Formats: sequence, C-alpha cells, structure tokens
Amino acid sequence: MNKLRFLISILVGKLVYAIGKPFGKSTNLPGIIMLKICPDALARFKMPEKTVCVTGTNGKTGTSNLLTHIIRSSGKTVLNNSKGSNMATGLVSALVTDSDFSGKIKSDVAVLEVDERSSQYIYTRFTPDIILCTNLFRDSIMRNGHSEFIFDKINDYLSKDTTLVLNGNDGISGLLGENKCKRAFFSVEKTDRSTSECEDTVCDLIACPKCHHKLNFEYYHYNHIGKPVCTECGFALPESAYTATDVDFENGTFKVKGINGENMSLPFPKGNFFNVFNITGAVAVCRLLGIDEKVIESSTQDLSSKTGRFEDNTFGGVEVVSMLSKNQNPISCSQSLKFLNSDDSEKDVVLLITDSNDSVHGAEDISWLYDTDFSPLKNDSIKNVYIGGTRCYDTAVCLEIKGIDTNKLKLFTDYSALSDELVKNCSEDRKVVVYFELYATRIVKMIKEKMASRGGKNQ
Amino acid sequence: MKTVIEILYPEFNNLFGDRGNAEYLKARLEKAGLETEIIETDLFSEPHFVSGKTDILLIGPCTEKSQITELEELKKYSDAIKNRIENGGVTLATGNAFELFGEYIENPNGEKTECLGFFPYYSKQFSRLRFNDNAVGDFDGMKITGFKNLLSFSYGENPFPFLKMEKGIGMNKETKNEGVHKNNFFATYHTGPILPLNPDFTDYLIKLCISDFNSEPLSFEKTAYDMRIKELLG
Repeated sequence: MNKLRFLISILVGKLVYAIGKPFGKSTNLPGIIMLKICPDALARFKMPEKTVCVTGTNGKTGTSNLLTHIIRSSGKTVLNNSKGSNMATGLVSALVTDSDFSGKIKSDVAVLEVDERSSQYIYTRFTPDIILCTNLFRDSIMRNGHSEFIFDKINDYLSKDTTLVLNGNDGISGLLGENKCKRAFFSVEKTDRSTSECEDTVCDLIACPKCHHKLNFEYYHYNHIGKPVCTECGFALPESAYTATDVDFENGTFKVKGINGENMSLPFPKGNFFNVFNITGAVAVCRLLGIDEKVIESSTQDLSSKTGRFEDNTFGGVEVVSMLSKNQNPISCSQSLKFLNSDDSEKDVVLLITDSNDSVHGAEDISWLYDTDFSPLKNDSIKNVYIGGTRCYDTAVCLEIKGIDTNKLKLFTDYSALSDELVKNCSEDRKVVVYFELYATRIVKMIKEKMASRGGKNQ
Repeated sequence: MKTVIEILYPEFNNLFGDRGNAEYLKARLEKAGLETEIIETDLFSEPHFVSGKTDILLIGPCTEKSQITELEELKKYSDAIKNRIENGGVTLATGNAFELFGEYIENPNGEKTECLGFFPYYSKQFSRLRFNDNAVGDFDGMKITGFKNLLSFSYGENPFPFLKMEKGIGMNKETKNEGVHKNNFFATYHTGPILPLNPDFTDYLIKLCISDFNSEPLSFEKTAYDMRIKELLG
C-alpha cells in the first residue's frame, strides 16, 4: 500500500514539475504535494551510490555548488537541489526530477543542501554517506534561537553510518557527532590577517564548551572561527585531515594539504576569505569520494563568484555595487560591510537590511542589529548613509549608539522616496554601495533603473 | 563619581543583541556628561556587586545548558543577590534570566534544576519549537515593548509581576502577568536590546540610581518607539 502511494506520488510529482516549470513553481511544489500523498517519500527513493549533504549557518549554497561542479568535472553525474529549497519539500522536488518511475535516482552522486533546522525530517529518512557542516553561528533568532539549539537539532539525528566533514576552526560545529560518527576535519592555518583577539562584534564561543572557563584562541580568523585551545582543561579540536595553507590575499591563492600527501594550489575570489573555508571543505569531501587531486585542481581554476549576490555596474554614470546581506544574520551583514574598508574612494551607502516586508510581517525584532559590526560606516570616505524601510529609525538608533555620525544618516520609511533622493544627490565621483536583504531585490532593481534614467553612461 | 554598569557572564548571556542594553545606557549617561564604566564579570569570577559598587546590574539570557552551569555559580552569591534586591540595587534580568530567580527549571525529561528561589514561580522547558512573541505590556502607565524567544514558560504564583501584557503573552500563555518587579529589581522574559527599544523606561531605570538625571534622549529612539507601539497596538 505504502509502496503504491510512493509510486503514485512520483507520477504526480513529475506531472506537477512539468506543469509548474513554466511558471517557476517546480522547485518546491512537487515536494509539497508528494509529501502529502506519501509522507515518507524521502525514505523511499533509491538513493545513488553516494549522497552528500551540506549544512551549516553560512556558506551552504556556495559549497554545494562548488561540490557539484568538481564532481561533475570528474565525469560523474550529479543531482542537486541548487534551484530549490533546502528543506524536505525542496529535496523531494529535486529527487523526483532525477528519479525513474520506481524512485531510483539516475545520477551517480546526490549533493543536497540541507537547512540546519530540517535535520529531523531528512537524516531520519535516509542516511547520507557524508554530511559537511560548514560552520554554526548565531542566525535569525526567530528561526534559530541560538547556535546550541541548532547544534542539538543536527546532532540528535546523525547516524553512526554517516561520515562527518567538519570545520576544524569552529569549536561549535566541530563537536558534532563526537563519540558517534566517523569525522574528518578541514581547517585554514593562521594567515597574515589572523588576529590574537576577536575583533568582531560578536563571538559565539567565549567559554570552553567542556569546562566553561574562558577559552583561549591561538588565533582568530573571524568571529569564533580560529584555533580554540582551553588552557584549563586542554580542550582542542582534532587534527585536520585537510588544511589550507599559504593564503595569499593579494593574489587570491592558497594551498590545500592533505594527510595522504595531497598538495593542491587553488585560487579563491579575492576579498572573499569565506570561500577558502568553503573550497577546503569541498576538497575534503571530494577526496573522501575518491576524486583525483588533479581534477580538483583543474576544475577550481576558473572559479568566479557566480552567485549574483555581488554586482558592480555603472548606471547613469554612477558606479553601483550591490551586495546581499542576509536579514537577521549579523555575521553575514558584518562581513559584507567590511567591503567598505577595501579602498578610500568616496561612497554613499544604502542600507536595505531590515525586513522589506515589515509592514506585512509586523514590527521586526531588531536585536540582530546590535550584534552587527557597523564600524566601516565610520570611515570618512562614507558620505551619506541612506536607510530604508519601516525599521529605519530602529536601525538609526543602533548606529548612533555605535558611534556613527548622525549627520550622515538619511532615513526613509518609503523606498521610492529613498531612491528618488539618492538619484537626486548622487555624484559620478562617488560609488553607491547598496546592502540588501533577500526580499529587497526589487528595491535594488528600482534604484538601478532610476539611476540609469538620470542620464550618463550605463554599463 | 563614575556610574558602573555590570554585565554578568557576558560570555554566556549574550544570545542576540543583549549588549545593546549596556551600550545604550552608556551612551545616555555619557551624553549627560556622566563618566560611565562597563564591568564584565565572567563565570568563575566574583561579581563586582558582591563587594563593590554596581549602579546597574544586567543579566541577559543564555542557552538552556548554560543556565544550569550559571546557577551553580550564582548560588554561591545567593545572599548577596538577595540583599541587592532587598536593598534596592538596580537590576535588570532579561530573557530566560528571569527563570533563575524562581523555584526551579524542569527540562523536557522531567529533570529539575533548583534555582535561587527568591520568587515562587517555576519554569518548564518544552522541546524543539521555540516560541516567538512581539509584545507590549504596561508598567505603571508606561508602555513597554519587547520580543520573546523562548524554549520554556513559567507557571505558579507570581506575586510581583512587572508587566501587564496588552499584546502578547505573560510568563505563559494563560496569563497576562509578565516578569517580576520588586523594589528596583526587574526581570522580564523579553530579550535582546530592550532598553534602546524603550527610552522612557531607560530614563526611569537611570533615575533610580541618579535621581536628578535629566537628559534628552539620542536622536531617533523616541520616533522608533512611537512607531513600534503604534504598529503593535494598532
């Protein structure tokens, strides 16, 4: 009976996919409907020979895309959910497009990005061969509470048959599967830019996770990512199997050395140190899958940031840089803001970082702003800071407390008024840097359109 | 004389933006020309207020596991905390720090951790889903807005409620009574930077230690506060 329900759900899923595709409703809807027909559908697919799940707070999408790319370059076929959601419904939707009518997945390997809060509904249905956890940080309090809460959500559902690939610089996610799973660590060695003190606004790991005394760090890369060592009880993370060394920020290159004598030279997009972690984690997974060093090296040479999360164009003669800054995620936002330190050229900054649907969702909680490092806005090169949205006053309160000159601040509850004022006062001598949350893409588009119509060159 | 703000166990009690409270107090006091010091006390150190002068003591929320660790330490200073409450020391506990002052915390497996026992309520953790609430409550005619993010509710007697909720729940879904207010001790389930969200209450709190404090707020928090209250109360 259950088998029949599953087969029917596949038929329906494939049909919904075909009908929904032209309307952009094919990445989640088939899964929603299939799980209604067959609630344990995820457990009934015949998974490919190797299944890799990628989870964690930051870097899931980038790492999954990279993994897919490298594995494909090795000649294997890969199924992924890069176009859809990373919850059970999105996974089912991706699987049905790649399965035959009996539920057998055709690809050689599945690379699935998994929302860290969905572990319960995924790892209990099938056992991934490998789970890569990029890191764990504080993230949207509404959805995630705190990192320990998310840690438990993942840890409680891990199977002893899964191999974990973990960030050896992260004393939070690095404890996943302890005494339960086989674990392989990757890490990034101390770099020229490592610090001896945490220089970010928040650090999610101040006390030793074992003995609760103040934790020492040999160095920090950013936030709590570094090399934690407890002088009280001796706690440290295990040795890494894959280590990034010789990180060259000027040229955007580094090496990955492995326990089996691997030594690969790899590039990373300049200015995005996060990617060194993502790439090193992906390399570790690929080596566990038996992919040749040479394939890894050659397939990662042409990496550009293909994300669309960073754009730099000229509209009406004004250079407009737009960067995604995830709403409610202080780590993501702080990292994006560091871009403002990259040169001394004059800039106007536009902050569209609070919920752009606030009037629908209602009075967004703004706690996360206080965990965000806004200090780059103090630079003299920043001339104006336009703040948009219902919560612009709340944002301004936080900026004033953090010592940003209030004369720079221009507040607009109305996005249209903000863009008009920006276009009126902008100058070809000043870059405009727009920070936007995921749902504010339409506002960025409006700004760019208005900017383009002011006259001057577009490119 | 310097005004001293003490943050208890910031390495644990800073889940989301909680430091904003100390930073806002400092900004307001410094705007009024008052020298201000923030003292951070870590878990295994003796809190400053036990033998020194702490004008405002802040205790923020922590993870469910850390609560148990903290309680072990806090119990060593039980008398000092009790005296502080009885003698009118200005203290603000936010988020699940509210629970530390009740009878006990019960986890989903039914295991109980004894708390400081100053007030007769007790807390019960639920598993998995967290409870979020955007809220407004009344304190002596003053509207106070806040945000809850909880994995537990509190039950039982609460003879000294801090807020009467107008929007959102009290210490559990069945009551509109929220938090504790006794002398100059305030505890509330609301979490994060509740002081910059509530400039009038911040004034009130500062005046409890500096009676002639009279200083204009910063530039934007009054407008932000008015907008939020209007949106939440409709």
